[in-house]
Amino acid sequence: MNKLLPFINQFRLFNISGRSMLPVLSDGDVVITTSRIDFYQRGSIIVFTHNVNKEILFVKRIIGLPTEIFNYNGSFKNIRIHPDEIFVLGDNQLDSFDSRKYGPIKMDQVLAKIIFRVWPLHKFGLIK
Amino acid sequence: MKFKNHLYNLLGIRTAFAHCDIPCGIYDPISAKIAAQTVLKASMRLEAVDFSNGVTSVSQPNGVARLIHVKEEHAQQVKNELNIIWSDYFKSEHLEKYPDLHNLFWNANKLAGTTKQNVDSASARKLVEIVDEISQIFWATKGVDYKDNVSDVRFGAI
Repeated sequence: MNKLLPFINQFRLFNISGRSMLPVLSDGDVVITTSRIDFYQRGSIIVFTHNVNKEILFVKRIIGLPTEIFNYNGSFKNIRIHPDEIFVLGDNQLDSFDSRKYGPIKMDQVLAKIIFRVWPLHKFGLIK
Repeated sequence: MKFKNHLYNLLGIRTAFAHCDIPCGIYDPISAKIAAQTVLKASMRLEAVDFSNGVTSVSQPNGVARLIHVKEEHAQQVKNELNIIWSDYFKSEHLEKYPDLHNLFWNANKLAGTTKQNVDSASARKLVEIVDEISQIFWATKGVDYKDNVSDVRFGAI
């Protein structure tokens, strides 16, 4: 049981609100996340906190990793990502408020990685 | 909806926002104003292009292509910025006080479309004016008297 509890505690349920992660995540989806940080990599969809109000949570995909020099479409300048930061974008890039507007986010804002969708039932399954 | 919220609370399901606009209720039509002014400037510069002596350098069509690209991009940005404010900020009580609100947004969208389809500085100028009208209403709902004092300086010379 002592080993089981930490394993169970890494999982959380989140309800997705908004359309910036379309088509992978839709408004109203319910997903399971893991807080194991060794799971994070480029392409991971993460839940992270607002930089000031930790009660507000956001969902985006990791695009740029710490220390990388990054150039995204629509920008002519390179961004150097700090060792403790990552660059995140919404999949629906035409309609997403993300690192293109507010810059890279701190690693300590990251709460969890989305791994599984439980609702709606017809989209039940792993999320990549 | 209430049942769903209760169920989510019961199950400890928190909401994570896949935001498509500025989070935490921060809205400002100034982005639309700057984009509309950009459309106006690009339109005026395109209207001033003179090819009567033919094309003598590749930089001429390149310059025109860049202006068209900027005009298209910023006209779309005007639509995006205004439509977020229209759909997410304004509420029915605002509409009661400002019954012309829907018309203003509708006309702004149509004008933005016109400025994309044509090189038409008159429409672009109307677009800037209508964005100002919307801004006045937007800030009035927050008890602020809107004045864009730096508008002309921002626009600069052609």
